[in-house]
Amino acid sequence: MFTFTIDYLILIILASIGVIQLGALYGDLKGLLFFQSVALIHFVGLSLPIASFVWFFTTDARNINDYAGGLDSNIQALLFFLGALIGWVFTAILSSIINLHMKRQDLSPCQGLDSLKKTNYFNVLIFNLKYWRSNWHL
Amino acid sequence: MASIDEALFVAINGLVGRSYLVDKIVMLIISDYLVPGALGLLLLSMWFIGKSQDKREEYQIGVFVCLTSMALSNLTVLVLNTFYFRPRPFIDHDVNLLFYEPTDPSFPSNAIAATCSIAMGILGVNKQLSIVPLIFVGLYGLARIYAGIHYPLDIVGGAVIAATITFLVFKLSTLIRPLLTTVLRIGRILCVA
Repeated sequence: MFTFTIDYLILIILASIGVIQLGALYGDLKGLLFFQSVALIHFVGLSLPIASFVWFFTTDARNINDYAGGLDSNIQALLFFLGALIGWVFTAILSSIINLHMKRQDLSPCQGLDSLKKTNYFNVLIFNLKYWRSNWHL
Repeated sequence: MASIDEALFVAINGLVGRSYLVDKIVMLIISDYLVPGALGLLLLSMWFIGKSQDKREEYQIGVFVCLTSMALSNLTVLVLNTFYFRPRPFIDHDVNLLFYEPTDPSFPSNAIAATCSIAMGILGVNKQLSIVPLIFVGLYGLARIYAGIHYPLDIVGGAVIAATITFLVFKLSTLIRPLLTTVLRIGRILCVA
């Protein structure tokens, strides 16, 4: 049960990192990307989810009822959310380190993900938190 | 109607064993983790796509619609199951079973109601993007009949519930749009929306 849970979590984390790269590429969010080459992003974005699913389904029997060691649908949903969150945090950290050179001063506080078109995640987060601490309104 | 449904089931399930490769592919497709996982990942990528902020917001509201529809479809199936219990095909028939024996009722298919809600929700946001998930859900439904765990009517029932609920949630989403927009604005502070 524990191994199955961990395996599913690893599957979702790895696959999430790949699909976030693809989503960021199509959303033109350069600050979230690990690579500058479009072909390389496509390769990583597609191969990470495919490889994780192949690994997941080839390493053990996965068609198991939840009372026999499989995952109950609620647990599965929770693990999916957790895995996607970890994938997002990993992407935000790694892309901020890789794109450390992307520093812009002309940021707007209401842009959210759109700011990542011109800068990295940490830069936007720090800017936003400083701004909202002094000017709190929605 | 029930006899046509059962005859169709017997015909489709009777194909099991003719091709080792097809059986293996079906066993993969019907897994609880492949199609639901792939659709969840598609929703995750949908959160980031959209070249402008307005377009991205439209997609992100679409993600909320998909998740709400999925939850409400599951709830509807749960409520229906308290009034009507249709046994799984392997209880009443001699089937070629390619999956474990689920204990919940056969009609309507909960798995199809959930996954179809996501695919229908994506259809409401972007027709082009919904082609792959709709094909996935179609194969998922067909594979579940082939594998001996659902009658065709269970699949149709699940899909009808999903389509109805998703349509209603889309209609209602215009009413709660200000609330969703506020949630997204809060998300923008942390740069997650």
